[in-house]
Amino acid sequence: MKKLKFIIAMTVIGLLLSACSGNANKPSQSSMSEQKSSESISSEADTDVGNTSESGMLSSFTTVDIDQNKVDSSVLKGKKLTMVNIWATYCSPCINEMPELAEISSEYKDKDFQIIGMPIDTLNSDGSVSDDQIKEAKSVIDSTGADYLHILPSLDSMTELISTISAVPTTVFVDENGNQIGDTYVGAKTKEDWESVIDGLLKEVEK
Amino acid sequence: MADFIRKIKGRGRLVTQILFAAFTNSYVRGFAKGRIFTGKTKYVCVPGLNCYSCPGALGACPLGALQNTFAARGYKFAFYATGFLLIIGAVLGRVVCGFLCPFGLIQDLIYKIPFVRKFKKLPADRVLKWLKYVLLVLFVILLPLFAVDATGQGKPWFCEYICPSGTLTAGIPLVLANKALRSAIGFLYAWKIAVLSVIILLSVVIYRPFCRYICPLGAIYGLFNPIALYRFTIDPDKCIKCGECEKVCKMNVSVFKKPNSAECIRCGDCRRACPTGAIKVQKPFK
Amino acid sequence: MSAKYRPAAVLIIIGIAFIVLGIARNEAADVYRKAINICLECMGIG
Repeated sequence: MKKLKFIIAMTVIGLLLSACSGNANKPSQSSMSEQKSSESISSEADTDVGNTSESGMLSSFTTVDIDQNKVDSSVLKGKKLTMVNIWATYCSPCINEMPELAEISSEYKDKDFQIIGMPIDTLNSDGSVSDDQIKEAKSVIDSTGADYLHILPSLDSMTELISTISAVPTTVFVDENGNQIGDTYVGAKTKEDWESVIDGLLKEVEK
Repeated sequence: MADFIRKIKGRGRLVTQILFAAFTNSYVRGFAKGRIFTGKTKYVCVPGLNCYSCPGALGACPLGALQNTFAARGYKFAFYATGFLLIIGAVLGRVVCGFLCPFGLIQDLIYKIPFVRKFKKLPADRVLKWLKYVLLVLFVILLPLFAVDATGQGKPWFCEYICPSGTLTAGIPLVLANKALRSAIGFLYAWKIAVLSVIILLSVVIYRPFCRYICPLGAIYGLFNPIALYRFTIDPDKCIKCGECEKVCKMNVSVFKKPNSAECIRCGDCRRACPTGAIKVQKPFK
Repeated sequence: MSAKYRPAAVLIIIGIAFIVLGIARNEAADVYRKAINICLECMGIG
């Protein structure tokens, strides 16, 4: 079991950094042959917790936040629209948009909206948490004032989301049940552009 | 017979260029799926200007590696990337440019396109030759090191604002194949396409304008030409100073005067043109 | 090997030392990490 988990972790790290044109399961199979791992992985992945075909992208995940507190998909309840902004500490465009995301986060505080950040370069190649990288991520969060919730990627329970990521920053929107709403946005945006995206999506979820 | 051998040798460079470019960019699936290779060979820098965001690329770009190490917090000097450059430079010098760089190959091929008139150089050639050193110091070293954001993170300035190789081999294929990326392009992308277009158009009328005037990697390797293991010598007994080498040289080097000029990309045309065979490759082991 | 190749030999040795030093300083891991990510900046998307 441990070996299987390791293989899954390696694959998902590989997926983390390879593009896919919106087809969640296929890349995991082709990436499999690169990693020369066993072919039963994809079926294993299906039976993994939180990754059944009827659940959405973030319907049931468990992970920790940047301070190692447990976080799961219940964090999505209570806000009809959650913006998940996936970033990395080495990514200039990601860092440059974070102060504005912080502004949006506070300005939309009373609306049915929240932002959750996810620094993806916080894990070692074996899937364990890297303390050095956590420190860097925290330092970036401090400098940019992006004081909203930041969670770590979970290789077990976020496989669909992670397989969508080809580059950073990537931003997705989910509803209370973790289903994706709208498009996957790659690249940074200005505050105004984000606000019009958010306003548009809020109108949809509040119907 | 000697003529025939010379003809084959003349083609050898093109064959080497094509094979090497194909081999180091053979992740074909990347082009189809709009993703990039993530295997362990990307720890290794290839010698030429080969963007690691190219879907096919199997290795890392040495210039990109340099910039990203400088740009990352906490690094003042890029030992790893520099180490690669020192070894490759000391062994090959600008042989890389002539034989192993995909973007050099592309310019070579574009130059073959017929045109009413081909130019030996741009008007400001003497000054423009130094531009590549300025770009090296500014866009590859200083700006990534010092133009940092509030968190101390810099950017790969040359990659981001100038490099046409990245635009051609990475920017265009990935945007074509990847829907999410397609919706992210903006002014910067348009600028990079413009830079690429100018270089491609110039390459029809001038031989390798990018290598001559812009490429910081060529600037680095050129510095090694006089001391690299692979270098030319002029046999003083054979050289009749006829100037044929200079006439044939597409990089405008006066070979019999400066056989190891920093502008020479080691294509070997001069050696084939020399009537007395005075231009030789220095044999390191004798 | 003639003395003309001494500068090249020295540089090669320094180069190898630099690579080893760079690996120890985690630079190699950083280069790898950047190389397997689509570099939006490199493509002009940023």
